[in-house]
Amino acid sequence: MDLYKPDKVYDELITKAGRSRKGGTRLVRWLKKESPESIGRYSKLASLAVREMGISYAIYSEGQNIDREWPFDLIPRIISAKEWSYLSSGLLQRSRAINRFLDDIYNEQSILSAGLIPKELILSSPNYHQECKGVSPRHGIWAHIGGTDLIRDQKGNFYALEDNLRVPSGVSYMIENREVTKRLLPDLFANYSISPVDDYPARLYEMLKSLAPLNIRKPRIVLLTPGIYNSAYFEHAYLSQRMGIELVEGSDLFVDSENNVNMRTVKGNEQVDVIYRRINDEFLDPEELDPESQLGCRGLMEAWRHGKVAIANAPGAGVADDKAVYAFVPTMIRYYLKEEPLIKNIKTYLCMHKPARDFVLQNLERLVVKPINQSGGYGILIGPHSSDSQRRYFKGLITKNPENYIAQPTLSLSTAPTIIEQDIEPRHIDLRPFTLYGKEGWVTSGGLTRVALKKGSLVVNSSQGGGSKDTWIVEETV
Amino acid sequence: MLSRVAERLYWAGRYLERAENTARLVSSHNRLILDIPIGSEPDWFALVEVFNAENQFAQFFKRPTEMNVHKLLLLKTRAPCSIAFSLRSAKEDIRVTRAALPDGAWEHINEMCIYMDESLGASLSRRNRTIFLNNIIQKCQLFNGLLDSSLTRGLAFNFIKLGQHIERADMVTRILNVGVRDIVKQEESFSHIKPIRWNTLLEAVSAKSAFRQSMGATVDRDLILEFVFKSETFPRSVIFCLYVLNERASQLPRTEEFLTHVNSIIRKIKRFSAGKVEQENLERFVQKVQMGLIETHILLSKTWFDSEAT
Repeated sequence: MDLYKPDKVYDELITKAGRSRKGGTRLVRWLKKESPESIGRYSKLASLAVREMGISYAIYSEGQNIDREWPFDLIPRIISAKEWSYLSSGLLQRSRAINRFLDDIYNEQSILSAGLIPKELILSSPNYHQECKGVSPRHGIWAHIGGTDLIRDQKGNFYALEDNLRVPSGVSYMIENREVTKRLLPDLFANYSISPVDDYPARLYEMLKSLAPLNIRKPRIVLLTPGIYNSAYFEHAYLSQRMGIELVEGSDLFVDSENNVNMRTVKGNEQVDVIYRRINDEFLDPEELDPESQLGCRGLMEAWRHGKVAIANAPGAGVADDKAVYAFVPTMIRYYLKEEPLIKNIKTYLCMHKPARDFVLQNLERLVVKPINQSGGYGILIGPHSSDSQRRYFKGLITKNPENYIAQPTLSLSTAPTIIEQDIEPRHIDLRPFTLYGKEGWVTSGGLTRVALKKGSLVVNSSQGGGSKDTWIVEETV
Repeated sequence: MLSRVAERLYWAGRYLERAENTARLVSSHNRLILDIPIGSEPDWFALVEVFNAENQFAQFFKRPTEMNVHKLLLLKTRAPCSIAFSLRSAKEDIRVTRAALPDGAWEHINEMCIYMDESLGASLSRRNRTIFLNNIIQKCQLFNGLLDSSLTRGLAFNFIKLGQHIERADMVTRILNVGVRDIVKQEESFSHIKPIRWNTLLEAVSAKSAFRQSMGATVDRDLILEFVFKSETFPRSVIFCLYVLNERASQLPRTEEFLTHVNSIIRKIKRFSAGKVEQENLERFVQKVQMGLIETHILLSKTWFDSEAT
């Protein structure tokens, strides 16, 4: 097959001169050798494997058929081990700083007193919970599991786009994508030295274990899911099975008069020591947060404050994951760690500040505007692809609620070769590595590469037409 | 194991058994009408009576016609007595418990529901009905085979088997009750086809060949009742189901009260002697057994599913 030549954007596999990048030689050789028919056939086999392995995600709906096949592209994305080692240090650095920040704002608030981050930005955030003040979780860690989205600009530099600290998902697909690649491309795989990814569940388990209250020797760990209608239910079931822990729903748990959390089992009640929760803060405890919540467990917050149970991520950790606080992560790194950030942030305009706001309003067609507290790629304006009326609409939104919006320059996400029908075309991608932090920090080898399958699109979310790729961290000589 | 998971497994066992038994009952009733002369056609509505589903029927239909009875029992997804309802419920139960089941269990029930959805509309004609019902029976048997051959003998297995055998005992007693009553009631008018009707009754509880092998070719009321209630070796007899409940429950924690209760029903059945029991007394006996089974279910829920704060 002939491969395309990238023009303006950075391509992960092919240089502007049309050569393969470091580490990609064998992959390019394989692609060139295949015919369009065989590429089409591989692509069909890949979706068959996905169906057979039952890799799915759910789409919110009332209907019967709620499982969707996980969209997967067979051509792996390659990152050299050297580059990755630098990035993973950068990710750990971010995670360390963010955790120091969380522990600080729920206790001394020194960074706020120092005037380095605007007080009102934190204290009036809907994700800042008064209920968490004065709590000190084990190891001082609040955000135990993080998914940081990384992107590459046209020069090939990595940037951190956002830190997902509430209930980041996607890690099971990272592991399953590897399984599919191994099945379908065993020869190509065997010729590379690729870091494994399937140790994640074991690492996650160890991390969760390290959170257990001090006096517990064999902690009982559970995964708390909102249930089958959640889009990530597949992942909840997958991870609980891989860790050998119970997958519980709120109704399986209750808190007794001594603030112990129990689960109802056929043997009677059993005490729970660590909860890996995959439900949002507001649903955790109807007594203190959303009183309408059917998903959580009454009294859970009180049990957590008494140190009877550990919750990962800790309630209140989400305050560090909104898009305005994001702008201050470099500040946190300098303030708490006395280091320079290893991974750059994207220039971010906080519309709450008048000069920034004025700039944003005048340059909407060049910027991406994002609401501060939304995830999943919803409610954003991509300036260069927007219409007059969309820009007028956002102008209104920003003027009315400036503190709810930030803007960033449009970055041309890097591309990677992707199978489209029987062809290979460039498509934009990002990368979500996962960070674990308990007693110690740890980062996945690579992460989940997400692909915007629509031509020219920059939206990689699976809920909006995104797909995924296996990500190879390769020890490369050629 | 979480109580919620155990409860869903128990219901998965019940619903699958219910779907299979319903299919078998309807199928045998359909064969019966082929064998009997015009004019002595049995009442289709008896099928609805077996399920005590007269009210459900009235919700959807006015006239107790052959079509309406089949619509209710096969495809009314909102009627708890229908095969469609049972299979969908089983699927939802298995969706949330698949981690406790062998690989393939989820795919199998999923595939079964797809088959059902695809054929339901066309399954009402007499010809297609039989094919559809037989396929449902076979697919249920396949699922049971999958569990028997690859599910570890642990909590999941025990709870599925408890559900399956409570349901089986319940269905068998219901079918016997209505069947025997109808046949005895109509004895005068249809005496020439009586053997066929007794055989149909055996067929409905999948006992025809088993009966013949151990009791011979002669069929009558007393022999059938003795066999279907008390056979120690036939896996669908009421007492056999109770033995299974006993055997499975004795593997579970906190089981004493439950076992005592099951044993009391076993004793009741052992004391039963068909020859000495008149028709009215038979109905009273069947009702007692049914009450016992309902209590069994309540006790089971109380013991393993509702472990509240103590």
